[in-house]
Amino acid sequence: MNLKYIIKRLLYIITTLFGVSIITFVILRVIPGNPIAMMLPPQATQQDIIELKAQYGLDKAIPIQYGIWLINVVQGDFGVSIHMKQDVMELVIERLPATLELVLAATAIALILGIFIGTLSIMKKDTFLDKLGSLMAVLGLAIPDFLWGLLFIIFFGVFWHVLPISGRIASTDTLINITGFFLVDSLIKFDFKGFYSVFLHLILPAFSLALPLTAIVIRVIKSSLLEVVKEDYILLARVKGLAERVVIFIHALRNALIPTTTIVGVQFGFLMGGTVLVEIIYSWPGLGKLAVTAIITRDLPLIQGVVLVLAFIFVIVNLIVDLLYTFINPKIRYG
Amino acid sequence: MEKKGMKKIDRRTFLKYSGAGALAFSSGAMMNSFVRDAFAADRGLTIAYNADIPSWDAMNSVFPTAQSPWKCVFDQFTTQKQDLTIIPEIFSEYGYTDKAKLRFEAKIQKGVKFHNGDELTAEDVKFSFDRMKSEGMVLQFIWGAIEETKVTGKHSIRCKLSKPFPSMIAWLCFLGSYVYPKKYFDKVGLQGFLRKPIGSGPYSVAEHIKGSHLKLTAFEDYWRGPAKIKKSTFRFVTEPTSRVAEIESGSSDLTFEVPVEEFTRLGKNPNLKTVAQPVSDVVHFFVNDIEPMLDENVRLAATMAIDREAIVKYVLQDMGIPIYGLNCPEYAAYNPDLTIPYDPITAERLLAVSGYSKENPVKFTVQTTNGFVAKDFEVVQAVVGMWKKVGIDAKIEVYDIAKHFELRAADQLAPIAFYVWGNATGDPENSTGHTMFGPSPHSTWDTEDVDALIGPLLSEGDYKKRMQLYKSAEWYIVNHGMVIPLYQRKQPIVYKKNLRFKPYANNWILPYYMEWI
Repeated sequence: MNLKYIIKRLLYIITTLFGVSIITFVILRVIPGNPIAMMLPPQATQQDIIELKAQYGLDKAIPIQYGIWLINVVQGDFGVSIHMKQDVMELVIERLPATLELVLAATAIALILGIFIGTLSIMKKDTFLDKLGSLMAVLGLAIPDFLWGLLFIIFFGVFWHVLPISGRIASTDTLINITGFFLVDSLIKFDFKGFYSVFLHLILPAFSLALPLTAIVIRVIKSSLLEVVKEDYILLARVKGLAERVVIFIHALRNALIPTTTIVGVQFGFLMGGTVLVEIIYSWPGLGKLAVTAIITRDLPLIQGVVLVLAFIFVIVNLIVDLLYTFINPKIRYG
Repeated sequence: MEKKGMKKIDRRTFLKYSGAGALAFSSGAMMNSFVRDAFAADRGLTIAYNADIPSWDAMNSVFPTAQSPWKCVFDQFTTQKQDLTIIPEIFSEYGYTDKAKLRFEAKIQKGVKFHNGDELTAEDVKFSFDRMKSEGMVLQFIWGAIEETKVTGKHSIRCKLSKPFPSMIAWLCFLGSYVYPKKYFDKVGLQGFLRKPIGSGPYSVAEHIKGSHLKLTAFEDYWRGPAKIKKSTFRFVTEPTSRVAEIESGSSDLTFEVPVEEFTRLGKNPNLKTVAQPVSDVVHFFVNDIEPMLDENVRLAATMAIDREAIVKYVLQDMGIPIYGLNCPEYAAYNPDLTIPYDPITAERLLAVSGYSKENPVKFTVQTTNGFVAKDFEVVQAVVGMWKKVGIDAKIEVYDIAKHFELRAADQLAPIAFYVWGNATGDPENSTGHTMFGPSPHSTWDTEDVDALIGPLLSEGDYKKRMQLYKSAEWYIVNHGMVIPLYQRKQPIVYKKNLRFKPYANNWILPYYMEWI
């Protein structure tokens, strides 16, 4: 792995984050709605508004406000949430594991289902299974995640009462928060009842989020495999008399995974920022829900913090995906 | 005979599929029983609540929705009955003790303990008053009227006011008025308090996962006696449809703010009870003193052309009560004699006097939110339809609530703007007063005649006189079309049929007053 390349990419990341911070900061101050107007008590006067603006530093010019904010951020101080009166980074870090746990679970489901169905469709080409796979891909793409979420809630929660439909854990269970990843925390504490509760709560939101991504993975895997199976080395493997499942799973799939990795990497970033509706529907206490509250209340420091963290995760995941290429296919080198 | 193309099922295949089927069935059944056990376990009480609390600094927030969870943990100086009547809480006796109403004295309930066992004394009350008016607190401008608070005994205090503060009694049970434990707060600081809040309320905090839920445990030493429901959970479900699913699936025992259509359907569920509770939210149109609203004929025509009964019946499906003033029946200065006739003929005539007709309608913009409160946009659409019939051509502009607040504070709202004004105290200062008094950032109508009516009331010490004068001011305002009242909101609440529940006119949902029957 090329260290120079990694350093170059890290510098790009800093530049990207700087750009994101400027755009977010300016947009938030240009769009209508200001947090001071939203927190005014009935008896406040115009003088009170001026004083409150000064207390929150909103009376200064935008470039000065940005300068102060940036200096603080570089020192690790993202400010205090206007609505929640708490340290912004504390709030973001508190919510981040919930979103990450959900997105990781959704990505894992999408990968497992997508690769399995995509590969099966190729192995059983033009059969009923292939058509079923195609139908699933179409449905997965056509129906958005929040609609899956509502359907799951109606069927699994309201009609059949088999799975919980809100939150991360049952009201009766209490977990000791160690990492914020409840599945991990319950395992660390050997709390299997807690683990089971967390697992059940994760199923519906994770599937809702996973199905559209599954559809994408099915399509990418299918098209990649269709290309790969035409290669000479696959023909050779078949001539050698290897079983079809060995040819596909061992020889063809590895190369077909490269475009899938790219897609999943990019989609992971989108999922991080796209969990909002699923989090709201399932009352999932993640970053998406926090972002919505922050936007409604025009909590400027909190919005800036959430956006910056999401942007950071997005660029880091992209870097990791790029580095993964070299692992999956050693022929790829970065200079 | 074997059909052509059909695969023969041999013993091995049969056993393979039977085994897989049995495994699937048993794991399904096992999962089902696990889940049923989890659901059946004693959950105490779970409330699907529509918003999380912003922070545990209840004193430093004007977020009305969080009052219920905060009231579980903290006591207030006074409190309210279901019909908004103010009754004692931490203050067992209170009132002004001088003629000028600049000296306020209170006796503090004895035997009150905080969750950590410390006794609540006058020092805690003084600390709370001092903190409420300190810099950085959102209500500093209100409590700034208290110049000094003196501890006059272990269970008594005296406040010296710098100016008359006639609505002080109402504010003692309103936003931000909570009693904090001085000793504990000094020891752990604000951040420590936010992490582990302690109050003297009926429940202590067992667990709060932000954005997810708040678990409360009954405080056995609560001075009014321990809560009957020992464990209560507020589950924060912000999406109305999800709250419906929560109550229907049995995951929650009570919820509210459900869609109107769902409310009717849920009422037919034999396991649930529903109540449409009239609450202290008055829906009205702010009128801005800009063209064409400077013409009184236009204002009166706009208000007379609205069929409030029809809006409540057909748009809100009876989830409201037509209203003709700024005060609803639960408020202290409600005037039942105040009415606005639905009279489109007179409306048309008034417009004609000003030179408008259906062919030459008066044109203006009406601003509204869409989805901020139930049916807001639909109500405005219905009103615009009614206006059109008399010669008013209103253009609807939809904005979000943040923009409404910004425009209102800057006095830049459109000629007409839809809004829901909540006044849980019932004191007219917090309804007629601040919606109509020009210098207030919440007022849209700013004219000297109205300011002359309301201004003196902000320091009027005589309660009866103050109420009477507020009624007169409201009469003047409504009959000159300076505000267009629409309806009082009803809160749709759904709960399990075996839960005894007391609905409050101020939207409080208090587990302390609930029990299983």
